[in-house]
Amino acid sequence: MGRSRNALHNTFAIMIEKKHLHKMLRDILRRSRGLQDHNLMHPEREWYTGLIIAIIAIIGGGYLCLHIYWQYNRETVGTSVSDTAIDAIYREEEVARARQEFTERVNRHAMSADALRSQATLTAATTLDAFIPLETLSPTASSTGVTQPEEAETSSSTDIFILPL
Amino acid sequence: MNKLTKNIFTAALLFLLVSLGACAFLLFQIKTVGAELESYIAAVNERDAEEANYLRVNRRAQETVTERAELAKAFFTDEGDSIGFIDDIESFAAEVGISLVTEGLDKKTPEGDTTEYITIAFVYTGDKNQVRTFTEYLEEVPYHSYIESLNLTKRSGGIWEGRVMLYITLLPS
Repeated sequence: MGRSRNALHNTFAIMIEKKHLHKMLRDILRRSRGLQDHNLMHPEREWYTGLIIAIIAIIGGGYLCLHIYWQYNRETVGTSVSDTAIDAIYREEEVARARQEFTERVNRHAMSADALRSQATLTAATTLDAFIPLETLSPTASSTGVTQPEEAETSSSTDIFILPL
Repeated sequence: MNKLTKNIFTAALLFLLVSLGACAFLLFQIKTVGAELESYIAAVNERDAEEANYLRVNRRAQETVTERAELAKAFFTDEGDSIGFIDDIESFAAEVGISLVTEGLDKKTPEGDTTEYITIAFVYTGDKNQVRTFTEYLEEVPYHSYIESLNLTKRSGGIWEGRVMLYITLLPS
């Protein structure tokens, strides 16, 4: 295997000699070189390149400055108090509902008290009616046996003395 | 490239580097001071918000003095209130011809509840209508209360007996 490779190498070396290689390379290089530019500096080209870079830098810098300006310009000293915090402390609707309920309760309580007073007055009047003729008790008493409200006190106090009998 | 060109190139490069460095430094400074400013503004905003919140709560408290006082009246503030209440009930019962006895007075906290109650046991007798209406009267006492138990018994001679256990809420201190 190794022997056959050496033989092939030797054959190739014989076929293409060194000078041939140099010639081939020279031809290739000469063909690709074209017109050579002998100027090292190109003022106009470099000026425009520099100008474009400067413009890009100025635009970039300007954008950066604007961005920073907007960022800090938006920062304002201001307060924002949420209503939910207050609502959590004072539940207005519930308070109003409780007050309403309480007022209704007070009214119902007063009505019950009035009803009890009326019943007491009626009981006293009935009791008195059974024991004493109404005409002798008061000239303003009604014929139905119901005592007038302003007489309730008198009737009730009388009732206390009469009932034990 | 002659020497002058080299010098100009070196100076330009140096100038560019110094300018870039200065720009970077200034940007860094702006960012640092800006962050500091943001933290100050946040602190000021927070303080202002707290102040505004306090003022609003204070104003709301002042605006609702009447309502809160009205609601507070619906509670017993201490055990002493129950004495006046019992006196009122007893004098009213006497006024309307109902025989009333206060059988018990206690302070209780029902199991599973954090609210304290004053419990009052009333026993009252009268005719059927009186007992029924007096029960309603006790049910609707102008306090934050409820009837825990009620027993109505018919006695002889058309007399009825009511036995009520009334719970009235004690205002938390």
